[in-house]
Amino acid sequence: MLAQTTAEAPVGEHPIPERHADVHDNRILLTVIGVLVTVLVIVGLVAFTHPTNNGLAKAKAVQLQQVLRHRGLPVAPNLAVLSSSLGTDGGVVCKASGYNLTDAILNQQDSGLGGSPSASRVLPVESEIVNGQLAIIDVYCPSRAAAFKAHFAKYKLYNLVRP
Amino acid sequence: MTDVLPGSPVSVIGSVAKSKSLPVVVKHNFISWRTFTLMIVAVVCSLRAAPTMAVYGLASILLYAIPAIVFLVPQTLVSAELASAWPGGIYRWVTEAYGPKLGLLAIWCQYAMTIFYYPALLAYVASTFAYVIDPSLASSGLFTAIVIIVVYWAAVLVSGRGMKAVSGLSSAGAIIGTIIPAVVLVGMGAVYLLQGHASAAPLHVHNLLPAWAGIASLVLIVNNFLSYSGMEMNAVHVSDLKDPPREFPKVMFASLGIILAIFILPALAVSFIVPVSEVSLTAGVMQAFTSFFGYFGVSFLVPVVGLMIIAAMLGGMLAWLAGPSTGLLLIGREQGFIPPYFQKLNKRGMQMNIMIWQGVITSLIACLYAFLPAVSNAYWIFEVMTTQIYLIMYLLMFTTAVKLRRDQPDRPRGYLVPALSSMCVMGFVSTVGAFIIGFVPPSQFHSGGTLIYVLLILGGVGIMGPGVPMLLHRFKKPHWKTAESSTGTEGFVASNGASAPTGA
Repeated sequence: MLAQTTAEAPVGEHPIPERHADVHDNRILLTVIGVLVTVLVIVGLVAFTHPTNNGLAKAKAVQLQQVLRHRGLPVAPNLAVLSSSLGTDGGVVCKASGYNLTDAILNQQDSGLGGSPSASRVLPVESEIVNGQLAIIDVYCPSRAAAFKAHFAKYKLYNLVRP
Repeated sequence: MTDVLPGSPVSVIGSVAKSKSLPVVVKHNFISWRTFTLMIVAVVCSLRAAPTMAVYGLASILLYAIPAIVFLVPQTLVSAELASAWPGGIYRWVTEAYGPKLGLLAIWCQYAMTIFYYPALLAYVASTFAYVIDPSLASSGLFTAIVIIVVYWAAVLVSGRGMKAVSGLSSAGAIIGTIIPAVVLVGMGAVYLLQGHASAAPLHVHNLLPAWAGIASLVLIVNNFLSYSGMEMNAVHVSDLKDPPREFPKVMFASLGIILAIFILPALAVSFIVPVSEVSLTAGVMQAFTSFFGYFGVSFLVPVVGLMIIAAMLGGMLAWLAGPSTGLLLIGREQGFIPPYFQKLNKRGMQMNIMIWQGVITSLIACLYAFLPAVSNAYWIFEVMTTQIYLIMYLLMFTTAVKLRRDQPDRPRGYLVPALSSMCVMGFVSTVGAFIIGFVPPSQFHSGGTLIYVLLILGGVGIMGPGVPMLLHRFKKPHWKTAESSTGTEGFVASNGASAPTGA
């Protein structure tokens, strides 16, 4: 059949498709991607806001450790890890909590196990994660705590982590 | 647009008539087995899972090991045997065993799963990009919709450049955005411990076992099977290897090792530094990198690694875009299941019309997803449905392998699975387990009881799963058949001249 297709087409008129473009054919594509990636890296380096790691950040981290201990939750043994990731304002935890779309993304992330489409099945939500997030919100951005609690009031939480 | 079949003898051999008198054989750009391995890694692996599984500390080893033994290994070995004997992937294998109706069902099950995958994946890309430039953008529907639509159509354009471009970019994405960041995470975790710091996750022997919380623990373990799905998907491109019967098994074993390492080791590294209570649900792997890089004083690298992770996600997406749609095209042409319009190929032999119309649907879903909170909040239900549909494909694959070994024992195979029947039974039972667990309502379902949830999922599976192939079969036209069936042909021996040795 395929040989027939080839034979029926006027020779030289319709080039037979080759599924692989060679390196030269893809030069423009690779150049465009290279330029785009370079621009995005520059934008990212300029725009990314590093969590502020100063005295206030360390004080907040100490406060968070106390809240976590008080609530019986796992505590980061290293203060620097907390202060460098949460900064003075709680970082992305406080910037993102409480929005509808973020909730949807949260659903995705709860379920994201691997790279393939079928790896996206929802998992039981671990209570320590939610309670830990709430502790962070309570310390860094308490005004968002009510919305966060309201959202997770609908969730059934599980204790799947062995102490 | 032209009419020559991808993966056909013409394109495989690469004989091109350049002049009116003499056909000239041009060099075919085969995909190397290393690139093929990385394509599979791009399809299956993601660092997104690292913080999710880090929560379970040492138990994450078992949570990955059990599914690997009962699902990944059977899936890998069976795919290797089938692909080493029959080119064309799942549609060809199932057609060979059970005929074109079930062959169509199998490839549709693989294809259907991607419909709701792209908007979700690209929403994740949008949120990761937002993390880098401005986290508040993650809550902007407009931003998310723009990212989904622009990136999807860019991926379609890239796919139109042919399999060499797709395989090159997806394997590059796997190296840049999965393997390198994984090595960085593991290296930093090791350095952290070697510096004498205590691990955030307890490292006692009893922590190797996950806590038992009834059905939730089962859900956790069984759903982890799905982490390994997709190993068989790239088998549709097996004819693009120089010596498929020998190289594809090598590809499968290499990817198996890399996938296990990438899933387990970074999860452990994250658990050493970030305790459960500080794993961010909203920032996921980016929060983990922020913690790691912040501790080591290299926070400025966070946006770079964010873009690298995006590259990996897009590389995986490219591979998914080209895979199931190729299978659908092939069976559509051989059996007349899809109209000629969708069978047309561009000059690179890529099925652009299928991808373009999928792009239209993806763009519509993206708009609904981004602008209607009700849709975005219920979106996971569609993913559950399509995952159930995908599992039907695995059931067909495991039974196909046993049937073909029995019916065609003398067929030359590049690789023979030892104890194939036992292996297939294990894979089949695991898949059934995953299918049943898919009917357990998750934490996110608040709209009714278990029965309502089961009926909802069953209805969706019925309509989007077997329903569509039944319609395609019902309305197929004889004149839509534009290629002869490859079923019963000599496979690699006939198609590319490579001899297929029998046995491993």
